[in-house]
Amino acid sequence: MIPLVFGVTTATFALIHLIPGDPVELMMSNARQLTQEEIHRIRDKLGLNDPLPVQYVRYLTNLLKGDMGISVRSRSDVSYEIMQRLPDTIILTVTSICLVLVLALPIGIVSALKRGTWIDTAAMTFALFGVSIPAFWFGIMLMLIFGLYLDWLPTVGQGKTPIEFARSLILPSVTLSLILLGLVTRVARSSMLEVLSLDYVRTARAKGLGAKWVNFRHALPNALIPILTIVSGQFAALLGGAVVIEKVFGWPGIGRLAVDAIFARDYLVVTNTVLVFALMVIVVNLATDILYTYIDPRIRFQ
Amino acid sequence: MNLKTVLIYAALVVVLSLSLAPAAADGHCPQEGGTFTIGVDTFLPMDPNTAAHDWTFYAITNINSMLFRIESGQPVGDLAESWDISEDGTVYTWHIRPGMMWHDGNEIFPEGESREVTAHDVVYSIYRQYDDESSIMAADLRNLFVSAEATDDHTVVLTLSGPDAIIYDKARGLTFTAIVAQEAIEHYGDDYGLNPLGSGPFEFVSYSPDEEVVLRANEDYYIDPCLDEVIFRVMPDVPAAMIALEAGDIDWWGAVTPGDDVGRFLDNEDMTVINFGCPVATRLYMSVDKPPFDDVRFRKALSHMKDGNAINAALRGPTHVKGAGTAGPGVAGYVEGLYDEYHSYDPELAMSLLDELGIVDSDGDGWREMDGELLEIPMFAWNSDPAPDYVAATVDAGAQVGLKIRPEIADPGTNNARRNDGEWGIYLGQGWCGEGGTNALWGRNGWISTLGYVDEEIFTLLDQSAQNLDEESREAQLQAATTRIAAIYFEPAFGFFNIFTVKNNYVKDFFGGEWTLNLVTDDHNVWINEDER
Repeated sequence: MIPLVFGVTTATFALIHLIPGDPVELMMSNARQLTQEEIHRIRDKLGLNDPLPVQYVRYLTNLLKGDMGISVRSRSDVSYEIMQRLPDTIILTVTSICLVLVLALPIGIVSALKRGTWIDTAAMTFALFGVSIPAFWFGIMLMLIFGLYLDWLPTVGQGKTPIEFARSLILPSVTLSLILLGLVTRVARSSMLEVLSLDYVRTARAKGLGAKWVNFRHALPNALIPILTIVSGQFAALLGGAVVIEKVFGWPGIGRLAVDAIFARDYLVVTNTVLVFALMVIVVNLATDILYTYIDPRIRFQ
Repeated sequence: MNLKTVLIYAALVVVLSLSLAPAAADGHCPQEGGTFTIGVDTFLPMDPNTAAHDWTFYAITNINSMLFRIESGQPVGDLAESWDISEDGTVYTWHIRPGMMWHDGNEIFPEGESREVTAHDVVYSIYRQYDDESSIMAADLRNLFVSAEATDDHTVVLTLSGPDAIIYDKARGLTFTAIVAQEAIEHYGDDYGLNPLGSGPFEFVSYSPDEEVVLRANEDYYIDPCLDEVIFRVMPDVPAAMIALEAGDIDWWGAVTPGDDVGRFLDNEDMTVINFGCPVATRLYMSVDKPPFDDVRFRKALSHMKDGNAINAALRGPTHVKGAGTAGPGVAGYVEGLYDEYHSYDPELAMSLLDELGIVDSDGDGWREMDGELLEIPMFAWNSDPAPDYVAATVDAGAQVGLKIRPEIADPGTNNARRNDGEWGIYLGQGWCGEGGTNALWGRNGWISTLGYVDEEIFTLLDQSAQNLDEESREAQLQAATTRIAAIYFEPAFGFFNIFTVKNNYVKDFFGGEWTLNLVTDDHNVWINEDER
């Protein structure tokens, strides 16, 4: 994990500095124009005039002490900026994954069980839509329909009370879940079909077990393994999708923070948010490995 | 008294009270309470030294008192009740309003333990900006600044080394100097921007980065705000923000409204479109110190080859304003007729100018060459709408006269870096409205000086106008600068666009259109008509 963290921070730090543009100039361009002398003075104060290796060593040393540095754009602690937004991104992403599992699993399974029927066709059409529709467009449509025309849900922002918060979470999480919905539905269907054709399922049926028992007790647990692999593997994609959804719905997550920081050349914010993203992916992969052992006990012994 | 007399008196009372229903700013609010939600596209911590962002300053100017505010282009009192300017324009004496208190009920001033804002606080705030070399204090003000002194608790004397005619200008004057409490700065240090404390009409309640800032009414302000609460809601996606505005989830869109939406909202009877009154120019800059751009005939050809006015009208919709120059209609230094004189559409003239320069299509492939080589010019622009469309239109116009223009679209940081390096090519550019904007572009060390825009006569005219207290001759100097810029640089212009913001009609007594957001002043006190919401 340590080499990974080192690699991620080094690569990000180097790449963000390769992009042309000056953070001070970009930061101030909205207020008034600065002379080159003023830009140099501010850069000096922020340590941006030091050679890159010096800046990087300073960053790593501070990181080891738990100090992520100061944001050039907001002039506040980067750790504060990230910690303020991280819970919101996690809530949004986890809710979306739950929605994906709740919707995609039953649809995929039913589709497999009713293979070749109109239900299967409808389910696969639904999955195709899920894969094809751009999430940001879908989000705007949901906003128009449920926010503006029907006035059922808030269009943007976060509610303060638990109920308001839950209401404000609906549109962004449904939109974000669309990214995985189609894919997971298709994987659930194909995975279930594959397992249903295996010998042990046929044997179970031959022994006279009921369809429900065979499908859900014997087939489903084995079909879940590839689904789980896909969902955890797509976690990074969901985080990437969250960047766009957070922007559309004004949801204050770290995806938005990272994108704004890239445009503002806020080097430390970019490097640290990428680091946090990487850590989140590592944690999810670890959790997935642990979950495997519960779903399939054989994996524990292997 | 019989019933008829009672009814007549009652009717009279009703009519009288209705006719005398005072403006909210008289201290009486037609309807008290409510939350005013302002949508903005981005927001930063609220330290006046570092918050280089307009929308952030909207919050700061309501949390902190300012010495003065700007309304209809004129300064009006806030913390300073009045002020005198010496005859030579170098000494400003500000008379501080007595009884203005710092917000209480916070870590610095517990409930009921606040203190009065004094002249010493003003001096502290000015020096805090002046001493911090990385603060956003305007360079012009910094260069003229001599001293700020509190002669008593309610008098501040600001001395400048020369007269400054635009001390009220957004980009160059005192409008970024919000008054802060020394105790709060010392207590919070670098985190002051996350916990701002002031003496303005609204108190800071909370700040959630990238989400919202909540303010509540300061009942100790010298005018009682009609609103209970103001929320700045961060909405980076403009199309989504427009839906939220229509749905009433935000009451006013404080940032720039795209042209298409302006057209839509103009037809919506529930909305009011507000013009900032400060048109912004779109034009082309180029590396004027490098051939072929160093020849004015080439710049003329670039100008005449395209129908700038038609392109601007198509891309800006109802925000389009015909014109050219460094300042738009209504801004000091505006010269009428510049567009027709210098930039009218005349492709025949453009082609003859190019022929005259020897930039001709000698191999018959449809593209012109210079010194025997294909002349392919990069055109640099940033990547947000409608900039790429201006590039596409210019590329098309170039093709009509045989000039090959290559689009180079990048994010603003990359685009600025290219300009700072003086890279050879054409740059799409936008002006800044106001006198400060003119100076920031064309003045000494101006924004585009790296491209070779250096002319002593223009610098002198701008310097002189900045220190000229006589409005009439200052206007003449600015117009002379504008005309000279047009004549010697021949910057191909497209036109201006007006900046519009949009509010829901249930927001009343709202005075938009200035750089400081004036929610509560002697003349305005914003209130929400909940019955209309």
